[in-house]
Order: sequence, then structure tokens, then C-alpha cells
Amino acid sequence: MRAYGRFALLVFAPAGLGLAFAAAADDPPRPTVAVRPAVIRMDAFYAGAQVEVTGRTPAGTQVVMVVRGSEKEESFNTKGRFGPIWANAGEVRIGGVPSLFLAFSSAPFSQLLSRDELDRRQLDTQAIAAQMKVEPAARDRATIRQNYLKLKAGQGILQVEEGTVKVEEGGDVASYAVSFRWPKMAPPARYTVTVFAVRDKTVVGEASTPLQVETVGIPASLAAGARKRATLYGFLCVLVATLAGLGIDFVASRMGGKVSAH
Amino acid sequence: MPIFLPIAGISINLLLVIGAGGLVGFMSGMFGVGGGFLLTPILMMMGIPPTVAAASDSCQIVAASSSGAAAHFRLGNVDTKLGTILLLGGLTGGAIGVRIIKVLRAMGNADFLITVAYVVVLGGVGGYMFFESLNALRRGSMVPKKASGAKRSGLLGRLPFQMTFARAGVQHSVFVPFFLCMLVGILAAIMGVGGGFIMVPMMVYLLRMPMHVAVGTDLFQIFFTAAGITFMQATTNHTVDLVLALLLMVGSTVGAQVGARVGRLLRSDQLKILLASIVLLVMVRMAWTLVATPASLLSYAHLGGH
Repeated sequence: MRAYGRFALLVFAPAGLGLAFAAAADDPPRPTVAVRPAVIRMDAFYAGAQVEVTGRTPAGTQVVMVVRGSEKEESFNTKGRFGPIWANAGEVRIGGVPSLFLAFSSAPFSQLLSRDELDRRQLDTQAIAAQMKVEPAARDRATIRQNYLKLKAGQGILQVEEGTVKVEEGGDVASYAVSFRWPKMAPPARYTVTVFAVRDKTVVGEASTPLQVETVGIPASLAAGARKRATLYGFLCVLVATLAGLGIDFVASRMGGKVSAH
Repeated sequence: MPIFLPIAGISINLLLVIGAGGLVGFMSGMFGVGGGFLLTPILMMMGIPPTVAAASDSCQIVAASSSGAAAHFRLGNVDTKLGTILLLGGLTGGAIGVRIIKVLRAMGNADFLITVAYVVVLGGVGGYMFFESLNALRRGSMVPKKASGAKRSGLLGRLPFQMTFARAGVQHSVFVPFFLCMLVGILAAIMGVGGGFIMVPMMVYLLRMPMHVAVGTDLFQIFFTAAGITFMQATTNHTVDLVLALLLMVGSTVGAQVGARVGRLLRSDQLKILLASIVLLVMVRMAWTLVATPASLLSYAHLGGH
């Protein structure tokens, strides 16, 4: 029995491997993605970062690259017109949207993907707006969505840039690269960078990698102290502020000489 | 030169923050106002999250007011007895104001009514101060008006618990400054800004205090109010950015000293007309926000305030 087993192994193993290689040769290569730097460290003198995303996609494909934060809910006051006057018209909670959304592509989105595909994969601002939850449900929901997108775009944490991904064909695979400035307003968190290989208005492959943004050094210690030892931190804030004020007054009184009362 | 703010979570130009603090500190030292109405929007324009801007601003006001109050204390411009009563009145008013705003908001479009009320109050106070001081300047009165010091006749004079406030040079029933300050505290809590703009004119015109003593005494009570708010913001919302506050302090404490000294060079009427001009500017700005189409129909809720 053992001899038959060895015989089968010798015959079928190479055949299986051959079939596997043949199948792999038929499949287009999967996209790859690499982010530099993979970790953005915010120290005391952090001045922003330039992020570079590179990788490979199957030959003949276009590229869409998205950086996305986790979903977040925020409360806003809304303004409405009452005659000639603008006044607060109540509070709304907006959710179902990523805390950060940056999208880059090698060509205009409308040329790359169908509306259904863009919506299904949440790849542009229209798709983000469609998924946005506004509570309580307002009559002018479309206006609220539009204003939210405008607000976030102004903060740099919602960006869509078409034609900024450079793709170079090279045989079976193409290489791509995109470089962008990391938004100053993006808070420390774990973000996901996803690359979609696109052909004939369909996504034919995708790859993801995390992008970690974290505080280090003194800022990290202070941020942790503010959360974990809030009472001590609050007391410290008041003490430091009072001493700073009195200290400056002391220095100023010494420098300015004796002053007379009114 | 960039610096990273740990609670705000963003990088910002160091000199820009110090400059903003200096501007507000100057006003604080000169007029006895906290400056929160000005600094919080400036910080927001720099990209700092609104909640962090408001809370950190409170922290720097602690420094600016302690510096300004100490400078005024040495100049003999702080009436601690009156300041303590004002503080108690302001805190009581603040607590009442928080409850009133809840009720008003539940009733509907309260913010609009409050803004209109504030525009009317600021317009009235600022306009009265401006023209009164302008007339005084035109008359060429070179000697600053002294406080009356006389006991008030009429209803106010007959109120119980009359007390002499030596530094301020006035005599009032304890209830008068307490309730006036309570009203200011209510307005301040409702509007989410400090009461300095109303408090100083109120002390000058209703309590008959000399302008310089009103400024010094106001800074004295602002210090305690801002310290309380900072502690509460740090423990409840975790939004006080100490690095941001320290940078603002560097600017504001120096600015407060300069402001206090420049204030000494000016006569009471000149100080009043300057403060009146700023009050009127704020009033115009608030009135403009009522009619101008806003850049965005959304603004962050739960800003807090001073």
C-alpha cells in the first residue's frame, strides 16, 4: 500500500502543481499597494506629511485609490431663513459617513466606473452623500448633505482628485503611483488605503493596506493624560495658566518699575 | 515654525497662535474683557476644532485675567469685596442661564430671539457709552470723573444690607451688584460668550464705579469664572489643549500687561469710547450674521463658551 501511495504522489503532485501554475497564468495578477510612510508620527514639531502610494495592477487597467476613515456621527446646528433673517433652525446628527475620505484616480470617475459601481463601493462624493444619514429627517436633506460635503472639503478631509494617479504600462503588469499631502485636520487614527484596478467600467481587483496616524512623544503623553487623568490634567491646566499669568505680571512689574495707583 | 497640538490633533504655526493671544490679551488688560468672543472664531479659522478652541481659550483667559488682575491689583484697581459679590452673582446667573436656554431651545427658535436681544443690549449699552463719552471728550474734561461715593437715594438707597466698597468708592445694597451681575451671567450663559462687554459698562453706569476699577474688578471675577470653566471642560469634555493654551498664554499675558499699561495712559472717557466702539463693532457683526447668507448652513453644535 505504501508503494502505491508513493507512486501516486510522484505522478499526481507534479500534475497538480502544473495545473495550479496554468490557472495562475490565466488569472490577471492581483493589484498590490504600498504606502510610504506606513505610519505618520505626530511629534511636538510635526508639520504634516507627504504620503506616497505605489503598487502594481494588471496591464490595461486604470486605478482608483481611496483613503478612508471609520464612520463617525457628528451634531450640527442648521441655519434657516425666516423672512430677511438667518437663524438657527435646529440641530441635526449626521452619520453614516467616513471620518476621512480621499479619492484619487487615473482618469475621471465617470469614465472609469458605472454609477452603480461607484455607489456600491462608495468611491465618490455623490455615493458618500447618498449613504449619509441625517437625523431627525429634515425636509431640506439634500441641502444639508451638500453643506456637509462643502464643510468637510473646506477642512481638507474630503477630497476627490481625478487624473492624479500616474499609471505606467510594463508587460503583464502596470505600475502606478500617487503622492499627496496628508490633511492637517485628519485626527490620529487607523485609516485604510484601498486600490481598485478598473477595466471596462468594472472593478477587476483590489488591495488594501492600513495607514496609521499616531501621536508620539510629549503630545502623546499629554493626550493620554487628558483622557485618563482628567481631574489632575484639569487642575494642572488651571495651575499652569495661573502661574504663567502671575509670572508674567511679576516680570513685567520688575521691568516696568514701580507704578502708581489711579 | 510649526508645532503640533496634542488635543486639537493638528499642526499649526507657532507665531500665528502667539500673535492671536497677544491681540486678545491686550484687549483684556485694557478693557477687562475676556476676549473669548474674538479668540474662539480666530482659532476656528486656523483650523482648530471648535470644542477645543472654546475650551483652550478658557484656559488662556485664566492666565490673561490673572496677569491683568494682578497688574490692576498693584495699581489699586481691584475691589475684591465687590468682585466677590459680582462673582457670586455671575455664577448664579450662569447656572440660571443654562437652565433658561434649555427651556427656550425646547420651545423652538430661541437662538434667533436671543441674538436679537443681544444685538439690542449691545447696541443700547455701546451706543449710550459712545455718545456719553464723546460728549465728555468734546466738553474737554481733562480730569477723570470720580465715583460719586454718595449713598444712593430713592429705592436703591432704601434696600437692606447697604455696604461701602472702598476701592470702588461706592455704596450699594449687596443685592444691587449681585442681581445686576446675575442678569449679566444669565445673558453670558445664554449667548455662550463672556460677560465682560456688558459687565464693565454695567459697573460704570449702574454701579457708578470708576472705569479703571471696573476693569480691574471685572478681571478679578473673570479669573475665577474662567478657572471653573477650564476645570469643567478638562474633566467633562477632555477638550483643553494645554499646548495651545500655553502658546496663547505667552501672547495674552504679555498683551494683558501692555494693555493694562496703555490703559493707564488713557483717560476714563477715552477708554470708555474705545470699549464702546468695540461693543458696537461686535453688535454690528452679530446683526450682520442675522441677515447675511452664511457660508455654510451647518455649524458644529455644543461649542461651549466662556
